[in-house]
Amino acid sequence: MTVRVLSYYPGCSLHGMSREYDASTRLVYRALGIDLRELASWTCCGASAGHSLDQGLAMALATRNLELAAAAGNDLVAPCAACYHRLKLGEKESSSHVTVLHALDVASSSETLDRLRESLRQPLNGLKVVCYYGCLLVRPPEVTGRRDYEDPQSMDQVMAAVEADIRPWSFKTDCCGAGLAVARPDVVRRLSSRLVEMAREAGADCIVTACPLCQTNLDTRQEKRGLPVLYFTELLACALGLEGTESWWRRHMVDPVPVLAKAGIL
Amino acid sequence: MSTAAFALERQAVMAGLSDPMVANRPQIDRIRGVEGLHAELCFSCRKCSAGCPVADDMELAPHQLVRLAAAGLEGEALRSSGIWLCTSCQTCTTRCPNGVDVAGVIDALKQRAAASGVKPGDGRMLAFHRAFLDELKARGRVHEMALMGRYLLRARRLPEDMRLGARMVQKGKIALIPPKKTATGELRHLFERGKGK
Repeated sequence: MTVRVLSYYPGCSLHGMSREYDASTRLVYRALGIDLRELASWTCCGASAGHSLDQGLAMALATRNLELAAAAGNDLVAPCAACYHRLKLGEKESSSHVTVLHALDVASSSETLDRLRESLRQPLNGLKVVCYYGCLLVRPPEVTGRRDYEDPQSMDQVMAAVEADIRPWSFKTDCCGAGLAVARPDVVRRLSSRLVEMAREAGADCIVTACPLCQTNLDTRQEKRGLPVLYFTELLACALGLEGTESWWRRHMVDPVPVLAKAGIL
Repeated sequence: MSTAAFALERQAVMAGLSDPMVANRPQIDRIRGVEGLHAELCFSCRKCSAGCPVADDMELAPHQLVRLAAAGLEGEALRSSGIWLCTSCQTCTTRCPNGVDVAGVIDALKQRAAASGVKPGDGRMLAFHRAFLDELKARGRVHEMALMGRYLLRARRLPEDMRLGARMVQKGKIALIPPKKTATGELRHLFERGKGK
């Protein structure tokens, strides 16, 4: 049963290195009755390269995608925090009436939370998690419209709905260094490995993310023994008992299977 | 912070923003006064630099970049590597008590540095951004493998972490075959239009 139709902007990473985020988002939202319709001719949002080099171009790239969404007539959802941020800026500055949402906004609406609780097959209570939001999903509040930007709650609410054992920590919105990954991995390694270290100190079995760049950075820059880094949608698929999750785990650099198995989830 | 930068900052502070000596200095396209950035409202509380994840790696920290921009003394800021290390995480902009868009000021510095042709303080990041836009323009969507190739051409060096790249290819995370082009004609038009500004 479809309860909501949304335009879908996967962004380059979800068609590339983070295909498991794309697959899990589609699978979970379909199960929740949310019909995601990918914009056929979406183009890259320009990411940090766009706004670092050419302000006018950066806005034009966002606007172009918003116009496609306006023509489709539905609100637009982006699972990547960087795409979301660029599109949200476009929404603010353009005259289009499309509302830009992050995938987490859809998952944490009160209707979806109810639905998650109703369809819960495999509670995640054996799994100790920390929720990592990163930067661009929450900051600055003038762009994202969030009031809890220093201590965001939406991912915590979603994870609580599927009964995960959420560990408090103070690094929810510290930067992982994403954009520097190719040219300055020395800096990224320092930022990301500190986050992993702090997650471990908080007693977590894994880090939950809502952005392909955060996930990739944290998953690939671990210095010592690994701590798995998962997408919130992958865990929702497990909690809802959905089929077709096996192929995702192989794509992680730090294998999440042992941790998920130990928690009785797989 | 270098002695020269410190001298410039002090000069800017001592002179005040209305000093004709400062106001009349020949500058590359002032950031001071750019709508929405509010660099001139900075009172140097340094909250931006305190929360910055990469301030320790910068020879000019965010509050210093803002002060230089506010005083119309951008030269040193444009040449600094710090502007290229900024991750655009928006912590500074979010926390500024005076509503200065610190990350926006740093973006404006990057844009001016790239356009003015000054030797960048960190050529690797500028090369990466250019490679990214090259790829976007050519394909409409960014293909990671092709982006690495373009970075190699722009930076004239290999991506720093080749072992990791190889493992990601092996895992199937990075695909070897690029996708089809999307709306590249339309994008070429957007890129050309931007150039006129």
